Amino acid sequence: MAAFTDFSDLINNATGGGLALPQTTWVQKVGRVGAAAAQAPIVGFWTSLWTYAGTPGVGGANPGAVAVCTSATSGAAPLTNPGGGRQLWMVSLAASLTGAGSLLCYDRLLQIGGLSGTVTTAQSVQSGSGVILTRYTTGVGNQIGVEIYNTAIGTTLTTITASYTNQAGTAGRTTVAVSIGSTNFREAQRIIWLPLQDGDTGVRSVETVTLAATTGTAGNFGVFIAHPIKSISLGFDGAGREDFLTGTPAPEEVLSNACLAFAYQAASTNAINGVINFCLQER
Amino acid sequence: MGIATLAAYRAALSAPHQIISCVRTVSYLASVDSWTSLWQSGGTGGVGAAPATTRACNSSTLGAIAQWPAPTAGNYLRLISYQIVPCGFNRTNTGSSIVIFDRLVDHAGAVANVATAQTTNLPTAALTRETTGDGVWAFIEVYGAIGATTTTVTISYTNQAGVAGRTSLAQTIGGSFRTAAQNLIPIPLQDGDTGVRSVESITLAATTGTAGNFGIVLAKPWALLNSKLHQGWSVDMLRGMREAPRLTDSACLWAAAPSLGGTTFTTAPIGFTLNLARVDS
Repeated sequence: MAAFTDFSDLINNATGGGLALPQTTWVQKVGRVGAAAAQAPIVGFWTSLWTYAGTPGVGGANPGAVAVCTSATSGAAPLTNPGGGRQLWMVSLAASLTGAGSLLCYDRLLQIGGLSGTVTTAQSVQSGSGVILTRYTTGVGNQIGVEIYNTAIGTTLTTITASYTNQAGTAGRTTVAVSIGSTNFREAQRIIWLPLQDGDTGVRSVETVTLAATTGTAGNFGVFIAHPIKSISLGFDGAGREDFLTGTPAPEEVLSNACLAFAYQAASTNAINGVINFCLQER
Repeated sequence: MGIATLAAYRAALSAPHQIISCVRTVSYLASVDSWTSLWQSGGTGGVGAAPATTRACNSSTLGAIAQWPAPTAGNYLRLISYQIVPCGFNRTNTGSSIVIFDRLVDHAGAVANVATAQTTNLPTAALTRETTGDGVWAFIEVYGAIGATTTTVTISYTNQAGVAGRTSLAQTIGGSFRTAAQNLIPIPLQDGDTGVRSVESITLAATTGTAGNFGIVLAKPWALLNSKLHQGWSVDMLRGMREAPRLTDSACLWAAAPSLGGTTFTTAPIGFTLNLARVDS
């Protein structure tokens, strides 16, 4: 089913005249993870808001064994699945946070925690687990993120790669080696995106990750598979709003049970506090 | 049905059923991790005060931005456009957004120099709107200046499912740039909770050094008014707005500014206009 036939269709839906009332979702984030202050963002680097406290409540615990993420997973934004065979579309995303940068909303498909910054052999992600994606199962458009959870890894700079299955179902693909460990690549709540092997456009599964050398401290890091939904720019004042009809090319579908999460690429070192707001419409 | 066509929307923009124009004087700006409540600022709706104990708020509560005639049964008012002039913000990292809430319940009488569970004037008054508590946020609003010693605060509350004894995550209270009246401290909820139905007690981990006066505010966000830095902005469905939130009859509209970076500021009035259309859905 097409998202919207025309602008009148969108307005009608937004003002309650469609087949279902629109969902306007509010997420408040405070600069705390669990019982402690969150790590300050670093300019140019990505910060995960996955474990940030706020409303809805997020306990801040590190993820454990590999698992599919859904709208019921701790940290996910509230979501009501569409009914009647309809689809759900994100038609706007807005935020007011404490600093400039970019805000990414993504569907967090799968995650694992408890990986070590001192192990230099392949660490299992999905390998042998039997856990497979339940959304975006072709893998097209999915990306791999490494997330440092609540305990930083070590100060020795090294690299990390992942072994994965791509969007064509070809196993044994290897991401480009990227830095991990040392300043800016070790702190809690940091995200390190893993570039895919040449020619690949997505990820069906991540089998293992491997550090080239120890970072010196085990810490706690993990891997997640993300499907980007939308991103917006946050100005110098930390505010941004974009609609996806007259702004970027089109509204993006949000699948049933989506685990909507947020990541922030900092242009500021201000601790992240504020509000995120997005609108979903059924069609 | 809603506003069925673009032509009807344009007509509604030209002649909204209700126009709420507001100016609030911004006399203080919080910093770091506190929001700023404009409840106690002067301006349209009057200067809101701390409640004597705890109360359910409505559009007649002193400090509420506006009152309006309720639409006839079966009809609703929906926000279809707004204008904002954010001249009130000017921290080192200036702000340009405010959130309009429905201030459901407020409370006062807690002090910031006690490190045991406080139940003065608690539990909070029963919600008269959003009665499940789903989507209801909890804040601490400072009415009388608290101390300069930084500590943390938690609340014991009943969540959106009616489960009592929930405990919020610790949130910073007291300390530099967090002591003055109008500080609005967002309270992060226990894992899995999506809202607050009532608050039963407040506990500081340690004294901030000064008693002051603070209390709980339970509120549901209604609209996020973004602007552009240093300039006024008009937003409607042709220019970035994709939701048309329904305005609840008797809502106590209240403006608050999300956290700003920086530690110095100047202040000025902030003005905004809310344009609403009447629809039957």
